[in-house]
Amino acid sequence: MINKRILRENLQKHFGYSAFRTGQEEIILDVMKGKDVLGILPTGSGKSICYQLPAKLLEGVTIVVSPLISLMVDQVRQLKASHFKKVAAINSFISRSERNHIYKNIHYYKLVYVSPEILQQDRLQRLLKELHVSLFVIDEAHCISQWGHEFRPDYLRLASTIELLNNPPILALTATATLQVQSDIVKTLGRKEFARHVHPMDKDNITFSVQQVVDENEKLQVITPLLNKYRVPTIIYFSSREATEKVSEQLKSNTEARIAFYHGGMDQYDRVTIQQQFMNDQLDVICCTSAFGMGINKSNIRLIIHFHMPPNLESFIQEVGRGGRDGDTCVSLLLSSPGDIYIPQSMIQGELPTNNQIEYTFHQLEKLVIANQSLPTDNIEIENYFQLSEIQWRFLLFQFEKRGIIKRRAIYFEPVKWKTAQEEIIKLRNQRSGLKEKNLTEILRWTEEKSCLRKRLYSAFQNTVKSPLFQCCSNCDFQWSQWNPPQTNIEKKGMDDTWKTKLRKLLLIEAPDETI
Amino acid sequence: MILEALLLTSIKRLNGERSSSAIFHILKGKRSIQTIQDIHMYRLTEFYYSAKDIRKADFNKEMQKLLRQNLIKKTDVEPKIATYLLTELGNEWLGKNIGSSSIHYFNGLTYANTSLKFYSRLVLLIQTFTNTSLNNYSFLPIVNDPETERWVKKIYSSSVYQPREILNQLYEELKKLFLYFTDEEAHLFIDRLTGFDQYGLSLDQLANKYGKSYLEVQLLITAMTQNMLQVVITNKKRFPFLTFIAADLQTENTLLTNSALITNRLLQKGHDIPAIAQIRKLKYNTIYDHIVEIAIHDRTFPIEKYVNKETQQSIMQAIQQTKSYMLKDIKENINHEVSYFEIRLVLSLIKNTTHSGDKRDK
Repeated sequence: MINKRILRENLQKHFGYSAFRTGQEEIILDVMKGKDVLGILPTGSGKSICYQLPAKLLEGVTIVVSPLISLMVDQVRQLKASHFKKVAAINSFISRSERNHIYKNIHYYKLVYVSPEILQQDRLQRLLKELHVSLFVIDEAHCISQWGHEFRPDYLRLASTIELLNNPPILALTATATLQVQSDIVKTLGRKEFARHVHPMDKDNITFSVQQVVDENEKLQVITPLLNKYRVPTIIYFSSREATEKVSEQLKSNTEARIAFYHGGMDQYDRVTIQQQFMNDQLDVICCTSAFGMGINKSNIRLIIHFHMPPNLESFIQEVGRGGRDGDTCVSLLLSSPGDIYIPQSMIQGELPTNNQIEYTFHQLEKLVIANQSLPTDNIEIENYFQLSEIQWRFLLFQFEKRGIIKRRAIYFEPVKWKTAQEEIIKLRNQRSGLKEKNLTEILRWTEEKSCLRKRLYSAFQNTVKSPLFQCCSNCDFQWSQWNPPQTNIEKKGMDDTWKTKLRKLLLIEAPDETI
Repeated sequence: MILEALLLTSIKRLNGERSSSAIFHILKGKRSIQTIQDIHMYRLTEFYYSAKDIRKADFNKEMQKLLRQNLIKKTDVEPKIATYLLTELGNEWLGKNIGSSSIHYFNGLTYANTSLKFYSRLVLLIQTFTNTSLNNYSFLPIVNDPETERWVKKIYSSSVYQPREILNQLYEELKKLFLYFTDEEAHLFIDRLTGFDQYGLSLDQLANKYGKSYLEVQLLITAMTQNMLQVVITNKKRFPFLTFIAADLQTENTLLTNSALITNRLLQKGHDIPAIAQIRKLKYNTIYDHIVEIAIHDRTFPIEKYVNKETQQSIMQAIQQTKSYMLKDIKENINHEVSYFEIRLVLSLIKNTTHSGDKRDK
């Protein structure tokens, strides 16, 4: 029987930590008992230990469904770097030969990360069915609700996959979930009894500041002196890739800070480079999209600026939660200007097909039926034929499959059924976009809040809020002049080296006698 | 400068006979039959796959810049597809700058794939051995390629090589190798490398530091790596350890697409075109494409099976008359019963003859 002492010994042995952090132990105990668990732990509290330790201890394999490939890759690499070797990640980005290598050795692994999409593959399902799956983990489980309905429909297929794997115990983990999202998660996974471990997500060491400005130009004018005054690890979030590049350029020419941008469109080598330079304090400021951060383990981030507003409060809380993980002070600054709502609004609209697009898709499907053809095999062809984006097509395809209109690539035509289906899908679409609009309005309201920002921010998620360790918020007491975080020391070295000297230092070759 | 030189040289050699997309495809290393044929016919094999990550929008921007600077001009031969020629100014610019532009480092068709792997190995080897020789065993590998990781692991766990010895040997050989490059190039290349507690610079950071564009830095590193490989392979004795790094990397080009490979196998078994089309459930035109592709790669391919000697002759004549490799031009100057397939097969022969006399512009 597993008890607390054994768990702690193993935590020390396998991961080198002497004690659990808040919430971890309770969750792991329930997991080890074979219960289905819903764990809601604040960002940066070490959620992954909740399944990594059980994976070490349980017989058989632990499957982890993870939404972001970069996150998956990071975790696997960090685990391997810390001597957890029996781990693999399967996603659409690994090469065919690499995938074959993993499939052939599937019995070897204790921990397998998968994307929800790849998990739907027949071959992988057949392989996993033969294994003893001891734990099925859904990381960032809020995706089931937030994303599942639109562009990650495979999240909604998890329940049937779990059944296929002989119903292993489930562990659903997330950092932020409103009650609505929690019940979404539970409902979608199709289990009755979840042991719920919900831990308050408010961070008492973060100071919240919202500043209203006229336009983006003024945002730059606010940020520039801050970066000149505070040389501290800083993240600036943007809503588009272009903006990260543009603004980082402008800030570079107006400040002394060492700045780089980061987004999902960069080459892999550069992504790791920038991330590690930041970890290593070779960089002060990262201008990034939301692609940066999940899985980043930097403890001393002191300043988190939102150049653009995220699409909902959950995302905001997640992103802010990356600051001050060492418990020391961190300031969150959200810059808000009148036009800010348009970008997330158009993103919401672009993610879902319009009513016209839905009607047109049905029309095009009917044309295929009349011509006695099946769906095009290639995704790009499909998107061209229906004139949909990839995200929109995924949303519709899931709806079609759910209603038996499309099976594999064949189309099943029944006029009456199609008519109802079309109405239902349009209704669903409007519901979803309505909900997203509501979330957006909610965060917009928060930026216009007149009373305590801290209390208001967390009120949707929990009843009580801890009192702040440092300054509270810009509506209560916050003043930049009162904020004095520890600054990063920079030693300038090797500026005038010849390339030979540089190479020599890089390769750790002793200097030849240079007495002069 | 490397970018302008690359584009201008390509435009010059294409001689207004191909659109700008053809250049784009060459730089990106598109595996289409048309692109492969183009690089052979217009002597652009070394630039194949030189900018695999280039975006169409950036490419177009560069072309516009060359137009604005009056280095190239549009031809008015083909109104629908824009083709380009060098202006006098462009020729002058190229004459003056090509020597110092580093484009002669490129050796794309031969080394593009190999040099990518060579680079990954070199980078990860340096990161691994600088860290382990200082007893740091937990570091995030900068290269995320399982094949490379396995290779480095193998070196690491074999007791033949001590970390310090490897670093010493690398130092001695790289010191010699960088002498083949300018000082600035050596600096730039070394700045991107990652060692112990010091992560290398990203492309964007290098661009800022050296006052180049992102694309130029990318091109330069690609070109340098291809040239390094060339130097190492032709001077094996001077670079024993670097030779070892490159040794098992395939240097021959396996550019035949998978689908063409299958068709080739069926051909060799004696199936004809209709049979193959039926077996593979493909259109005739697709099989034609494969055959042209095979002919380009295989100098001994018996094209007379598909084009008789007479037709071959008349196509040759048409090419000489029109002084052009454009299919449409040739087709217009020939008996209309001759098919595009036949013309393309004959063109695949031509590459083999002109290519052997390839001399670089200087």
